[in-house]
Amino acid sequence: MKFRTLSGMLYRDGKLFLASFWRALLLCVLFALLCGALLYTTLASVREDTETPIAVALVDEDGSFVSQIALTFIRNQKDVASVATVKITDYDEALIGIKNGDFSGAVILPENYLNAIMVGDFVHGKVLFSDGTLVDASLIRRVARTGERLIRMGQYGVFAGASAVSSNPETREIYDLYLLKINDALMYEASTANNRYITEEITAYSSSALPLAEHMVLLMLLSLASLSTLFFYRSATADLTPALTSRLRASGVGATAFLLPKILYSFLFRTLLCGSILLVLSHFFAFTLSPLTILLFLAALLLSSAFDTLLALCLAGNRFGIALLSFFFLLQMFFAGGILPLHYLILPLRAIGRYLPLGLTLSLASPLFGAKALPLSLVWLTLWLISLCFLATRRLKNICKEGGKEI
Amino acid sequence: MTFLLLACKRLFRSLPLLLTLLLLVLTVTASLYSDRAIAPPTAGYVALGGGEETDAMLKRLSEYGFSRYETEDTLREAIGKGEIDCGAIFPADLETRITTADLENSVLFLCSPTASLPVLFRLEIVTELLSSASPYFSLPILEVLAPNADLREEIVERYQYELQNGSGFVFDVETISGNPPKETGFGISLAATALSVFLFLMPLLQSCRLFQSQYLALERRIGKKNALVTVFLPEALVSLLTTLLMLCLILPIGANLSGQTEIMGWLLPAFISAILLAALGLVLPILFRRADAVQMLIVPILLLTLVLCPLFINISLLFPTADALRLLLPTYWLFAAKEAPLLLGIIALGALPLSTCLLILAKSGK
Repeated sequence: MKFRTLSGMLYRDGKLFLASFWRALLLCVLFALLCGALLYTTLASVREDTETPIAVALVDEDGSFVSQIALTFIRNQKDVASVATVKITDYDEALIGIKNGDFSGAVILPENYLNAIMVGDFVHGKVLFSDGTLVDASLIRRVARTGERLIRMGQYGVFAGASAVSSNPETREIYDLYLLKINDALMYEASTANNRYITEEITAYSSSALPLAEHMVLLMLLSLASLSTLFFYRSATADLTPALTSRLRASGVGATAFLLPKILYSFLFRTLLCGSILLVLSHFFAFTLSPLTILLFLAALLLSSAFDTLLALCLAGNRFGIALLSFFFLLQMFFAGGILPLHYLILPLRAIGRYLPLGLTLSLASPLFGAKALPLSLVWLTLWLISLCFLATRRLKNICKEGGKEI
Repeated sequence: MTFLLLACKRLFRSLPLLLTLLLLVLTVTASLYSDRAIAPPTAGYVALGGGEETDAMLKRLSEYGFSRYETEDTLREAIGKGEIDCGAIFPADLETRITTADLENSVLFLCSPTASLPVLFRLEIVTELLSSASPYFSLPILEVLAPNADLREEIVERYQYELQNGSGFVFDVETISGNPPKETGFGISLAATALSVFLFLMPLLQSCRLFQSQYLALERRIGKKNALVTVFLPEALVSLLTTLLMLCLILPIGANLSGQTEIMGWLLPAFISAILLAALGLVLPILFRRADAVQMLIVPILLLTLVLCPLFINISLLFPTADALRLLLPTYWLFAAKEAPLLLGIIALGALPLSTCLLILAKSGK
């Protein structure tokens, strides 16, 4: 490959690239807005999915002042509110609500239940489930069981201590004081245990090394970079007519000199695009910026630029070229979780996504957010590239043959 | 009739058939998601230590559906794969902490960012911890009130006895007949959205035919109007008929595989929106003058559909102006046809000949 030929092709492709640049930039802004909106709705829906409480009717047949205070206290607990939206109703209203699908179930507290709990009498509450919402029913059953066990824990805890204290002559005199203190202690433990006993850690997003928001942001960024191939499709494939390709071949332009500038300009555009978006994102996310992470990110961009440009060249001349390219990019986004969140996909579909170029690029670029890159991603991406190089060279040869020259 | 037969022959070799097959796969896959939506969330745990109280607590958790994992890594892997939503890691000294009633920060709770109702699992774990430690809360109180009395064993024994045989508070459970909540499920919404996008793709790709070099050559030979009437319109008609035929197959298969009948209610709306979108497909070549410009619509239409149609969140609650944009999307017409099939049916039947006339007029240069 002669330097003069390469610089000539660089100049020629540079002119074609610049001719499409402003149109591509405008489309990129539009697509970036769309990708941003999609990112927002996806993240919001995941949050809504995980926080949507179940609608439950609460029937207080006791109706006493103390019971009302107790129920208001329970309803206002943050933990309870995130599991169930509780509405206090009467029995008939609860039944009608369940039949109409307004409530997934109802909890009925019997008359005098509070007093019975306090003195240790046997008392039955009632839980009604709707057979129309089976998942909710199983969840309400679990909530009811948890409430039941909490009450019994308190009842038995107090009773076991109280009976031991009252049966021992040495401790009988402290009985009243003990009862007061153990009730206080157990009430305090029951109301604060959820926050004090447990340390919570949010794990990485399903089948990804990154947390949810970071995974989605990086995926959208790389998807947008891939989609930019569509905006340069005309300029990248402008030379691929039999006559023009043959003339270029006759003037000494080989396959490498033909392909390299196109890949280079695509890489430059992606670097500019991703660089500016990452600059904006740096206000919201903490990046791990080390020479290695930057190098891996650039490698991911370069390999994906090469792959997408070669794919566009392979499809050049096809009457559905842009449609097929769009399908491929959307398919990659789908399997990587960009169209539907990853956790909606079954495991084999997620595995496919990891081995498609977008998934591999994502893995290579993820150290930017502090995750580990899989070294195999680089190997897989190179294999994709080699096979596509072979196809693109064959396509070039065929076009040259049509124009009467071998390349 | 001859033109129609010729168009049928060409269709077998062209893309719409492949697309219809793709539609089949997507609709079926999409309707399968609705089955996933009814699976209740699950959780797991890892116990790094053991003991009498710890083992009893873990046994109760297992009875409630918590799965046991041997190591922290396997638990994390299961959460990562989506097999379980959450997991708890109990420390090696849990037994000591229960028996000394010192449970502050005793459990590490791993939670997937997409877990449904993780609070419920936390409450269950906390309840079981409290249940195990309940008798031991008396001990520090008694140490202060009666330092010389040792009631530890007696309290624990009585507590265990009550736990096994006691008659404390109980909820009786009863299942009654009720309706599901009045909302379209995610699975069906997803299937309907996928369906509408692919219904849109058929006429969109069909309209690219007008920009093909062979077609342009034919136009030059026999005239624009003649080419339109003898080649393009018969092909568009055959493509529409194939779509309608495939819908009759796809929707019942999708409904059958996902074990539900709701999706069958989308058959008539799908028919109506297929006709409406075929009419739109005839108008598109008037608006766009290049095949690549028409094909470029695929990505933004799909992304806009995902953003604006209430598949994930109802964005019009946040931005009411988004409702106006929704009119441009194929999914809107499918949902509108579900709401008012008669009105949209009449509009669709009128739109098809009208768009055909518009195209003929545009092509004949009038």
